[in-house]
Amino acid sequence: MKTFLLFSHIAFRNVRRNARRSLFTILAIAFGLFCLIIFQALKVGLHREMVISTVQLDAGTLQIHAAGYEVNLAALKQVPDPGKVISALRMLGETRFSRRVKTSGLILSGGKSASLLLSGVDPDAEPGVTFISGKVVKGWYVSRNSGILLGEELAKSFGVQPGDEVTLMSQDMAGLPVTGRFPVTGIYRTELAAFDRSHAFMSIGLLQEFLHADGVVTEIALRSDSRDETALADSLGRSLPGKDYQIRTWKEIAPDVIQLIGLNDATMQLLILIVFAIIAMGITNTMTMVVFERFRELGIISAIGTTPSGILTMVVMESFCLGAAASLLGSAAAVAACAYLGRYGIDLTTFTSANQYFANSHVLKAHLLAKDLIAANAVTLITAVIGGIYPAWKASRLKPVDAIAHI
Amino acid sequence: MALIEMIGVRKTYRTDGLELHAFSTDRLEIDRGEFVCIAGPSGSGKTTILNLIGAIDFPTAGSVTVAGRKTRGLSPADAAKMRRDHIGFIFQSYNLIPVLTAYENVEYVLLLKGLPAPERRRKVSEALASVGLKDMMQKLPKEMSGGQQQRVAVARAIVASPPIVLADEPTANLDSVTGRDLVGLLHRLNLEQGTTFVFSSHDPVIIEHADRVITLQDGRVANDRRC
Repeated sequence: MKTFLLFSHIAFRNVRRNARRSLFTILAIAFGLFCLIIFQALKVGLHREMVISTVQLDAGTLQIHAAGYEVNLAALKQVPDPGKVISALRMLGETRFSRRVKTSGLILSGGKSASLLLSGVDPDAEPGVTFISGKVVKGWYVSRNSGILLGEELAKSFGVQPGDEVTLMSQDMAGLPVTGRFPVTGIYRTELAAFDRSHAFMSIGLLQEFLHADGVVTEIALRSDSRDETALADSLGRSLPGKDYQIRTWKEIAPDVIQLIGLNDATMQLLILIVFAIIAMGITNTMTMVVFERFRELGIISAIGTTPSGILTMVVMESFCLGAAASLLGSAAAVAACAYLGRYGIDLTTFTSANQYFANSHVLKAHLLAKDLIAANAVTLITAVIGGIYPAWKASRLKPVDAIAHI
Repeated sequence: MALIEMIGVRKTYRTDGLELHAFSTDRLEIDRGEFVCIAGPSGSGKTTILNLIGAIDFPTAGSVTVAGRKTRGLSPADAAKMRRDHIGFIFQSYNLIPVLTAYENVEYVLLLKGLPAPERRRKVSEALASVGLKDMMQKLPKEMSGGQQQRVAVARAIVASPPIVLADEPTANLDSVTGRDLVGLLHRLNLEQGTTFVFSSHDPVIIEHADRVITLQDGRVANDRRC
């Protein structure tokens, strides 16, 4: 232990010995670490935004349907005994859920028409599940037995405002066509124009009445921010035995999001590998120069009784000291940058058009996780040690007689 | 048994396919407490003898025994431990560890031996005091003169009380007054502590103090004279 401290002490002082070279090495490693922490924090922020957009735009954490439900099913497929599902959710301690009726339809106004997905939602419960109620830009959100909430893009293309009327066509429970005129009560705008063009909302009671589907519920959506969706789905499945229900997590509803997250993670891992390989080569280069410069000095150290393992420890410790200094510097800079990017973010409209993964906001904010910061630092230190091993091994194998004769 | 025994030793170096004879002897012994100077012109094998005794180089043939232990066949780690436990080195160019203070340079050897802190403090203070550098303990090598650095190197060589101190032309880089002082100091340590000193030098001051002068010529002992 004493000799380890001695070697650490010498290593630390050796780092200061050629201050300029050490500084450049430290800056290079710190910059690599800084970039990785920022990229990782932005990636986490991106994934959070993607999940929020998926869960809070429409999907919720879980959706419960009747068994055999399909998204594009034209006929209404009723959830059997919705009260039983709601009781099961309450038993699990969940409170943020909403009953829905969803059907496809046609909207007509002033000689124009468009197909859309019509959602009848519970005006009191739905804001706890999705963020649409917070995106109303004109008029008001869905209320009982009033009119229809349209997306801004759709309203614009139809030239309608709150107070105007539109005609809706769909098919009822029996599969017969139904038509009705509804006042536009509000206009909402997400960051996703395609969603706004194709989704309209009204109260569940009004839609049930329009579709002659009194008391019918086709979907129950649940939002749970704190619990693992798969575990929650399993618990709910145990509470609802039999084959009457189909419970799906948002990951099953939107597998493309999971695939994209997986792709991002893999890309990031590749990037990490490349950056740390560069860092390792930089450290190896620096430490090789150090060993070459101190060839004679290492020979003397060996001659006065330092074992090869002691010399190896000394050189690796110096490499570790470089890594540790770079870790401190890179982490401090990255934490400060993440704090800024976490608050103000990066406006993605500068780089890309709106897409389905940014329905809530077009600003990408960094989200730095403690585990990512710790992992990045641990990998930096490990890389520093690995980078120092080869030159340290070379140093430990030098023959003192050759080293002392070296000029 | 002599402290240092060289029997049938031959040392050759091979460079670019050429074999260079550096040193050979049928038998050479150095006893405990001797103050030996190995003299001879450049290239006569003085440094080779010290390297062989110090287990930083090994004979091509024959055996070198130091403090009862053969050096040939030692692993690098065992050779290092042997040097640590039995031999103190003084080099021509001081060769202190530049990032350590005078105190730390001297303490280094004791740390390698794992001595406890109070004992280290006492021994380092005594060693530095014996070379007249008690006031320079916290100085870095670059803050000291050549003579002061060489005295620190002496303190480092003797601090662990090794039975043998090897000194390779220790006065070569010193002025005559400093060189004379240093040799006087080493001789005093030899007399007081019974440490065996083996020098390689052609400095008349060292030769004058030595109680045995081994003269080399072309890698062989040409003369072995006790004074």
